[in-house]
Amino acid sequence: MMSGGGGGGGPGGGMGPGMGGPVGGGGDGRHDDEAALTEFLSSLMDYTPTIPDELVEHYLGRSGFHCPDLRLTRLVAVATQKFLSDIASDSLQHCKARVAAPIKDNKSKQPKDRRLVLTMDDLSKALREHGVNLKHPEYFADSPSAGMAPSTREE
Amino acid sequence: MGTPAKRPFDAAAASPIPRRFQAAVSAVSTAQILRASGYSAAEAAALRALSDVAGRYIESLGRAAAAFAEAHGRTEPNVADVVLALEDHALDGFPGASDPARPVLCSGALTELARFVAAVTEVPFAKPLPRRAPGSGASKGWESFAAAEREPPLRHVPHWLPRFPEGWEERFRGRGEAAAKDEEDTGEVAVKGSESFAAARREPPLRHAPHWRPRFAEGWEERLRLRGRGEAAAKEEEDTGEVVTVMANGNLVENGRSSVPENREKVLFRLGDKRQRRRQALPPEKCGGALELFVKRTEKLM
Repeated sequence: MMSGGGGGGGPGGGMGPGMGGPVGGGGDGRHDDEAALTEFLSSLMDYTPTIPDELVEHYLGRSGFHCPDLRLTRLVAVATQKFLSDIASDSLQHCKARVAAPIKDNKSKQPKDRRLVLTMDDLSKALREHGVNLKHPEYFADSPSAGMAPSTREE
Repeated sequence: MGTPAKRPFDAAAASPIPRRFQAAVSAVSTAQILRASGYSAAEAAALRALSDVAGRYIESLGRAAAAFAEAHGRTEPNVADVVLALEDHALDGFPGASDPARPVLCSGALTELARFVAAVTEVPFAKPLPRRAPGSGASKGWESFAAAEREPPLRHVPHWLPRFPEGWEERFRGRGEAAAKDEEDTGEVAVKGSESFAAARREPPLRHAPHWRPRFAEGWEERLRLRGRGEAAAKEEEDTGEVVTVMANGNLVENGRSSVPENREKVLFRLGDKRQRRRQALPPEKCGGALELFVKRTEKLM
């Protein structure tokens, strides 16, 4: 299925350093791995990523990636989704850590657990570990709640 | 951008979702991913920033994959290129990264992805997005002179540029006429007004003024002195009394006595400046007559 697909060179094409791998017993192993990969790629067609295909193709087109194979587009979409959910979970941990740290009275902690808001602060901390530097100015004094603590300011 | 498209429909397939639409779509997708991770709300700025980062991540993956493909002499990336790009982007590493002879197609990055896909619940995008059909051909929206086999109407226009729209001549002429009408009164004077010191064979009265600049208007010394002393306001008063009261009251009053005295200075100052500027642009021969009317009319409108 891989070599018959429209995805270009397939495994026989530019494999890179992988072809120098084990030949003898690894031959069967490679088939298994390819089978696993094939299965994974076909399962991608059943799974619809949250990021729509057209959007992914648009962004990929801007960087010179043109591929008629939809499975690769789905692969990139899923990779981006994983990236975003990693960032989301990291910033969620930051948020929860911030809520847990000050020991306030119990009844004020409950509503905060139920309503978690993504703030620029948490986001920039989470992104920094993934290699993105995001700096957000503190506040613009254009609203009555400017400058207040972010947890009390919900949008 | 990477390699150019081989077929016309390739360019069309990769082309324009308008930028705000794309930002909105990516914001919605990002919001859905955030919600699936447990967030119930997000700051607007944070959502926009994260969706922008997501778009850039996709672009970065695409660029890396295209680069790997080109390094192997291909123009279209395949799955191996994408997997290598993914491994490149795994900043925290992935299992099996230390093995330089690792098989690409079953790399640790892929297994991590597979685990993620198995674990996460599917949240597809709600509405279908418009997409150009790949075989529909690139409609540029314009046609060059050469393609339309017409001669460009103006000599300096090359034939490979897009055609002029229909009716451009009337629109162009109409605009030109409106401009010319304004220029009518001052048409003959404009040339005279911009005579330089050198052309008039006169020495610039002030040392810093170069001789190729236009001549100062007649009577400039007097006006300068008067303005410096603030008497220009008084001098202007009798000339522009009518104009001032039109401005201050909003209705036409001939004599200058019924305007509000306390505002008059301020109004005078503004108008006075405007009149001064206009005067210095043109020699004083033309300051009476048609120009006066023109000034009054525009200031009434203001």
